[in-house]
Amino acid sequence: MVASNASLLNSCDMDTNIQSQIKDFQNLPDRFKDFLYYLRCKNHSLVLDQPDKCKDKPFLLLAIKSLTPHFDRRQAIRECWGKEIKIHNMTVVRVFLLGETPQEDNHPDLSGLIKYESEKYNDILLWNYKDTFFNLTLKEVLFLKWVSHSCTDVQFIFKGDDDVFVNTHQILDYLKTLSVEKAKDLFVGDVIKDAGPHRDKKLKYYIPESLYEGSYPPYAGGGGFLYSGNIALRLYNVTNRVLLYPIDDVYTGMCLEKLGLAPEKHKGFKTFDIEEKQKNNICSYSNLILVHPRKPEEMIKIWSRLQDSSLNC
Amino acid sequence: MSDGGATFAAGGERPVSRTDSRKEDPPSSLPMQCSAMVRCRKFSISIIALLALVVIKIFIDLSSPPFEFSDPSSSISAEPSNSALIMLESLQDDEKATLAALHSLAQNLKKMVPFAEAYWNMKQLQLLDLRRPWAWTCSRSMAWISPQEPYSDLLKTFLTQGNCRNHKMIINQPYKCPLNSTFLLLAIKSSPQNFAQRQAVRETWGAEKSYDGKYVRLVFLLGTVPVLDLSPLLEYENNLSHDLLQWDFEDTFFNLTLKDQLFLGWARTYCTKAKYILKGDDDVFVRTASIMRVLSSLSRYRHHSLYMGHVVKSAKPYRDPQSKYYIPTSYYMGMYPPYAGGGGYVFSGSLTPWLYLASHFVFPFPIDDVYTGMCFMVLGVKPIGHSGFKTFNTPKKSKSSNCVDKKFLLVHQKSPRPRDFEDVGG
Repeated sequence: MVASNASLLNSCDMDTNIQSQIKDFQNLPDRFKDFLYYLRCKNHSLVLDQPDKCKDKPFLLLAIKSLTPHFDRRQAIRECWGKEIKIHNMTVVRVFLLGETPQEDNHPDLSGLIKYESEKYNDILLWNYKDTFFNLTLKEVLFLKWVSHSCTDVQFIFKGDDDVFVNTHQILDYLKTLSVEKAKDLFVGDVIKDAGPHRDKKLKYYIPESLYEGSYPPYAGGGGFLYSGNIALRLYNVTNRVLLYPIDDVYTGMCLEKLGLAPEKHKGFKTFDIEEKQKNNICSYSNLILVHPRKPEEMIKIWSRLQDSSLNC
Repeated sequence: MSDGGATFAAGGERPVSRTDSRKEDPPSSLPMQCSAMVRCRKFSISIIALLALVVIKIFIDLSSPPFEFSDPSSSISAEPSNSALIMLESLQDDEKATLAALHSLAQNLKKMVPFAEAYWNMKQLQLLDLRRPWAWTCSRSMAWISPQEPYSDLLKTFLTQGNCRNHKMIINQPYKCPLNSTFLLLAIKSSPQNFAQRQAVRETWGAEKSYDGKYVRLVFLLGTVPVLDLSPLLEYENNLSHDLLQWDFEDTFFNLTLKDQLFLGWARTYCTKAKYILKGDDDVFVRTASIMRVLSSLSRYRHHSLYMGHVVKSAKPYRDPQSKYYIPTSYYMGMYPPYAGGGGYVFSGSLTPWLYLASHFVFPFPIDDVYTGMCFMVLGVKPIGHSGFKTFNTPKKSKSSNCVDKKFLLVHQKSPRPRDFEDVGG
């Protein structure tokens, strides 16, 4: 692992010193070089903000990792499991987390459309960093920073992908049952233990030996996990002491470990989907919290079937 | 759409079509990247060879037209009779006579449609014997479905609703084609959710502009996604770009035929004077300037009866139920007519009203480019192949290579980042 260099902390200049700290730097794929050159750059600013999102002290904040072109996924989530609702004094609010897809990288210019979407639905947080796979960790850090500035009173946070189905009512039912003690340090999800880096260069999750050796701390799969607002604030505080790691959910696991905490497994998080033959049985969703992956139309279909008052599971 | 993107490109992934069309292509245009790479290396090795090639190239440029048509039977000089079109044009003021003429022209389809127990064949042969145009109605009738074969939900929907095409317009562009100034209208099949693909097309090859005084106009053809309310975003998009045409029907793969028909109906009302129409998918890349040059160099005959693209001949329906293009034997028997792959093809704008009318004599068929081929067959217009149309998937590597075949006019790709292609040739 790379040693921390205090003099460069929070610097967004290209850190060329990093080359000498990693033995096979020149042979690394470009995405690793870019990641390492800007390892200490974390103070990106918000282009689209929702400063009043949490003014009513929400019970649950849904924070969904999305990408600019995913207009259909966001709309589906708004129309089903991501609805901003208030049930028995519990308020649910929603934000989508985005970076930039810059034209210099040959992306089409969708800035007008995303700005309009943000004004229309008041649920887009967009920072001025490049939205790449490795930068999902940056998305995590910037989101935690946003929570500690603009959403400090939130009780619980669900953070997940835009291609998952979430049974929001099941989350609320679960949260209601928690003791005060348990609720304070809550961090649940599909926990992966004793995992280590993938060494197959063809994989999206490949990590070279020179970057990380050993096994990962226990972490909750990034498809979606649920934690307390209190933990979010503590996690943000510790991000300055844990170097960015290219895999976002592993990074969150590292930060939890630093806090002396461990994520807890909850069997309602199905980040690797449910059995094929159960997919069309609506009752298989009624007791779940999360299923991955689902297309926009599927999310809406499952949601509307779950709302059916005659449903008897 | 089951594959979640705009990649319902009619044409991709059909091996029957692909192998068939390869036979037509001259060898030089086949494996774009490999042959070009080898060539590139040779060039750098030998300057003499380079000079020799330059001399040969100058000679070729001086002695031949800029682009070769890949189908030897349809070279520019050999122009078949266009008597069908002349006859139709002479009758155009008399609706009854026009329809009678089209009915008799539609008998051409009998050569292609074998007498078989298959549903479509029987319906089409009945239609040819009817002596009146097919009535497109929106009454839902449960059609006959073979008990022995699997029919996908999409195909079942098509069987019960494919006869309806009175769908209302949600977004229109009545002023898209001012007077006589449109040379090429780009009519791009898109889906509501494909915001990025559309913006990429606008910013690159689909930009509305003049090429040597000849104007290119752009429209995107959309249906709806029933459960998702994307209308505010689409309205905003359209207020900026004024290029969306949207109708109130579900945007699915088997509704592409319907999209085609609705577009033809639109074009014969709002864009009657466009010289040419390029119909294509939103995930292709087009070298618009080159296509403009090819179209500008066409003979007078071709100008009035063009149907050009990647021609697929002697193709058979897909019989694997897993395929997106699966057609059961109980639905259709026989070969497909020659047709241009739906990823992108060009036709004469003056054919629009005839194509529209011809569709009244062709029973609805769920695969849009095949259906278009049938309608052109009624008009007696044969598709001409052009090796520049690469509507079938190109090898992955060549997509990002700088040594891509510089002769291509239209290539199928997936990513909405066509600027990656802009460095390729001029």
